[in-house]
Amino acid sequence: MKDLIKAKAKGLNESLVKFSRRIADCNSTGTTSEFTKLISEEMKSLNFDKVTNDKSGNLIGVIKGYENKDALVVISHLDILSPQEQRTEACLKSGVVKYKGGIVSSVYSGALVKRTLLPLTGDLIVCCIPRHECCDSGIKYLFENYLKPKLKKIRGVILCEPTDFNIHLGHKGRMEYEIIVKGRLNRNFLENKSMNMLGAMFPLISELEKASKQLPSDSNLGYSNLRIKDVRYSGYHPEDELNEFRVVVDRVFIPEENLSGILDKAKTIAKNVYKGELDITINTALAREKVKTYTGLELVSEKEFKPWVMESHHPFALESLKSLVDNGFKSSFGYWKKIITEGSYTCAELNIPTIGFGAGLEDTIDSDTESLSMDKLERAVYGQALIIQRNIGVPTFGWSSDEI
Amino acid sequence: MKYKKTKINILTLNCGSSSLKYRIIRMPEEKCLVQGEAERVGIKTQGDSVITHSVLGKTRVIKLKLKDHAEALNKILSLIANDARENKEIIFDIFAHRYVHPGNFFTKPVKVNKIVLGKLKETLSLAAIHNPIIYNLIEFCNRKYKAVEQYVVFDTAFHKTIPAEFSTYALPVKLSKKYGLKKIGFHGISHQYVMEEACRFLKRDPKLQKVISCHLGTGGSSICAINRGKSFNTSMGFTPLEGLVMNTRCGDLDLGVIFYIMFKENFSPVEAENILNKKSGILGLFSSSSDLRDVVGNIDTDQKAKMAFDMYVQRVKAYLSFYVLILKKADILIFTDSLGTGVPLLRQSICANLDFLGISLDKDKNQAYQDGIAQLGSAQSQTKILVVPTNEELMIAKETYKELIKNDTRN
Amino acid sequence: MILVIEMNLKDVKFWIYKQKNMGLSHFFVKDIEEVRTSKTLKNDILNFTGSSKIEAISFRILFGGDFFDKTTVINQQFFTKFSKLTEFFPFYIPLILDMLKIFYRDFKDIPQIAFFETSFFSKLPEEEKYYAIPQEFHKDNKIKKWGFHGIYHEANSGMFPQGRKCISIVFDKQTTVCAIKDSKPLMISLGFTPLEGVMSRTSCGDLDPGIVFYLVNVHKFSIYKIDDILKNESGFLGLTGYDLELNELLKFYGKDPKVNVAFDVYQAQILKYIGEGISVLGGLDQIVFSGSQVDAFNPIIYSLIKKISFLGINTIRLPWANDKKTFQITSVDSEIKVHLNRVNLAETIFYGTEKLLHKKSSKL
Repeated sequence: MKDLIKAKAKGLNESLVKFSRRIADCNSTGTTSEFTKLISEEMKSLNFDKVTNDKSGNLIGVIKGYENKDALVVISHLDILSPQEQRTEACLKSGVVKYKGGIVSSVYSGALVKRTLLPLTGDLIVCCIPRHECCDSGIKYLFENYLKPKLKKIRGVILCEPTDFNIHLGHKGRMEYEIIVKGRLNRNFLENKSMNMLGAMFPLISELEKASKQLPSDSNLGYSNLRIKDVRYSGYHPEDELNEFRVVVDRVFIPEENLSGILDKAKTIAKNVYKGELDITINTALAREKVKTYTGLELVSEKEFKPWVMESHHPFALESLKSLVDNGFKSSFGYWKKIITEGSYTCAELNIPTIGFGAGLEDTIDSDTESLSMDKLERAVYGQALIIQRNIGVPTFGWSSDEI
Repeated sequence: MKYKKTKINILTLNCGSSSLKYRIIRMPEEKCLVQGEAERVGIKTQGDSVITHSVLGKTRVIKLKLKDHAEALNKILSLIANDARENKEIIFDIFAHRYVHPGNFFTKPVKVNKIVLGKLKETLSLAAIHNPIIYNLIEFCNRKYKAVEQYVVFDTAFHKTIPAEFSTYALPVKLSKKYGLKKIGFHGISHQYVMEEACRFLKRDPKLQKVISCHLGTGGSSICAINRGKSFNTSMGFTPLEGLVMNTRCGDLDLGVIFYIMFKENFSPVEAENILNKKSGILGLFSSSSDLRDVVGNIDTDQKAKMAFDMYVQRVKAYLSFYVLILKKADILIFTDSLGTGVPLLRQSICANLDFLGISLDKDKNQAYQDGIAQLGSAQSQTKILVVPTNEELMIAKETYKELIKNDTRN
Repeated sequence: MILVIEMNLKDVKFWIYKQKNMGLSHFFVKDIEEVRTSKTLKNDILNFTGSSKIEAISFRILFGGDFFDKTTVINQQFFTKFSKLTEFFPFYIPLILDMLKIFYRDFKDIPQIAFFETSFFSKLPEEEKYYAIPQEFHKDNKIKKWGFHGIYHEANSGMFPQGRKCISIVFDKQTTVCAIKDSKPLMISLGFTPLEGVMSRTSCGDLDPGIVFYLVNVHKFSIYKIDDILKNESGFLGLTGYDLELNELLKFYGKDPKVNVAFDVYQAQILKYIGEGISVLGGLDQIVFSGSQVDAFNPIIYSLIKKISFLGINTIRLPWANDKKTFQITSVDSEIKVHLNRVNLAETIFYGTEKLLHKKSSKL
């Protein structure tokens, strides 16, 4: 069977190279519709059984199974970046990776499975999701609408993100929250400190930094992290009751922590700093932002990506890894260190088994200098097809491809 | 020269998955002083364990709880100690164990020492049901009865002479070497015993005989081609799962079937192995019992019983005919173990229509058979057809004694 | 003209026969993708047949499952049934279905006939057809021996009068042994999949099922990996390490110890099934060897026969005359007669097709 997949993969190479070039040339800051049009046309020409898109701008291509049992969802994303976020460094810091290789491997692994005519026990659903920075509205919309009736049949989700041909099983969570301190500080507190608004914030900032040194860690994912992203204040005089200040915190966290716990803790820290102050209210809240998709849909999104970890002995993870190792890949299980993925939704929220697979390293992937070589992409397509075949393919035990 | 001129009593221990057969046999005269069996050892659900214990013909049955084989042995040894108070003859000098699957480590009986124990430990996974039980018992004896020498006799040793063309699987050589994959064969102690007994009965020299031995039991079944006293081919393979249809084992099976069932039914490898080892064979086909004797009782009325019987018989016939071909006709055909000795219809059906290969059974003799060794072939049968009750314990004692004498002269 | 087509995973072979024994007129091979995507398939073929009419197109099909217990004329219902076999032979059925539809579309007015390699074995006796596994698996999963090389074995069975006890052996990419009496198969070596039976160039043949569990449970192999090893890396390739076709490998028999072991094991596996065949037949009158490798395998046939000559077989020494399509390689006084049938698969299908057409026209 691997011979058959390999042989058919060769037949696809030429168009894969062409498609990769076209997609690299396409500027992601341009109109997204142009981008999705390119992908949807490619899917159609590769004989996907169904190509459609939803109101949120998600692009969906389906390879029909010969039965209607387990479905598999393959997800790649395309980044929608505002012009000020163009600098790569900034992107990486915020967990965004502009990884076009994922789009190519998701579309072409689907095409490869189709080309072999190997029957699937259920549908293969390839989804390209436009992703605004720190916004998972696209994936949510997809699962709440198009995929909703199929939810029970989904055996797993494969995220096409850089893993250097390993199987990744999760990453830390990331959230942005604000500590809002509102009201009047009394003279006692201010005597020892600076007199202006900024000065009044320093004790809180310093306590937060202290707290950042004592964060928990996870054996697979590493340490949590706390970074002060921004401070804002209104007015000049902390003794004026109409004024307020906010500390915006970028928080990386692990599965043992949770949203309300983190916010409570932040509140406690602030309360301790300003204890004895009577005319003050302290609040903490998750940051939100409004998002408008290129299709015109307006959504409000909370800036939270949940951490997630798949059990390494879960059959979906195990079989996927074995499908690679059995066929010559030197893969192992791993976890992303920096980037955030749709797994925060599919695995952490929906409890759907989720894994990541793709070519390239998460640190060096950068769409400005497309560092993925073509043979790496081809290998990713081959590996992805093996994973798909192993999980929802009808196995061909006993029959060899050397015709009998 | 410890043993050469004196008599020696050997306590043989023959473990099944839930049984322990034992005998004290005085060598070299082969006199059985004590014999018995502990049954339902370590089985939780099916009521009490039973020890049937006979001393020089007097039998006692004791019901009790035995949580494992070591506890059973402890009880047996205390029974023997009691007997010894009344009769000074009842003593034992040596333990002799039957070991099921030593992989490629041992091809002849050995005396237990640290190195041997270490090697045996490496073989535990080869027969995951039997090996650990026996190993634990050997270790137990080693700890508790330091002064008593222990020997291990291997069920596979007899088959070491099987030539490469029959013992090789068509697998990648590297894989076979790495994991020792080849036909190991089992029931060797029994096959060798009945072959020697048959030759003794017919007053023939084993070194000149071509023998086919059918060990058909309510546990496992296997068949063995023996050429001039040496095992030439046998139906069980690297594990006891290959070959004949057995009480709960499938025997030969298309491997594609295993993969297909595992995929279709979403069975884990352990579940699938369990099905093929414990729920297939006679039980799988007949479903109400795993004992071929129950099948025979229902054969005229129950379609499933007929199917199970026919498949069981046909598989034996297939191997039997194959072995006639590679031996270029057999001089002696032997039936042994509970089904081989106890079910006349089975012998009759297996031998039916094999005149072409020189095998022809005398129906009346076959029906009339009661016990002991008997010749059941018709006058025109080129192959002598014999029933020989097996006695693995005696063979264990004989093999151990041979090894003792060898070690003795070496010293 | 009769067109015989054999479709494999990589290529499509075409034989064009003139009728009434005028013989083969054309033979050509095309890449399967080329045929699938060709817009000029019909014309390409008509170029070969010229002005003479194509009476029928016959296909060799490897697997027919429960639905096709005899040679079948292709029509719309055929496709519905055929597609249901997918799960048994997942990478063959969808592809062949696709191809058959192309021919059906392009040659609408010409009768198209499917010859199955498995049909012959639908008549296997129950105790030979099933495995000693829990009964429910037979019903639910249709786990049974499908057999293989039915087209050859059926042709061989027609060579002798009723009542004869015959063993038919086919040397092709696979080797199969079949016991036949009264034109019915009583035993076949190849089972549910080609893993069972006699080893091939890369597959292991009969193997202790316990080995699979040993490797999976103790050494943590995946069943997919084991399946891959057993069918693609074992057999002659696994034993010798030489990646050669069997007729090439045979040249080293007697010279290279690894090759010797491989062919010895191979012959032992065949002998096992000859033995089994004799046991179901209750004797033996005839042995027939056929298949695409039958000429190359003359030394193996000779060696096999020598091993069982004590049954009453007198073989003629090698080399055997090879100008006739079928001939006997035993002397007149031999109790058991041994034949070679050198009629190849395409010819066999051609004759089968002619017979069928004749039957049809006589009905009209």
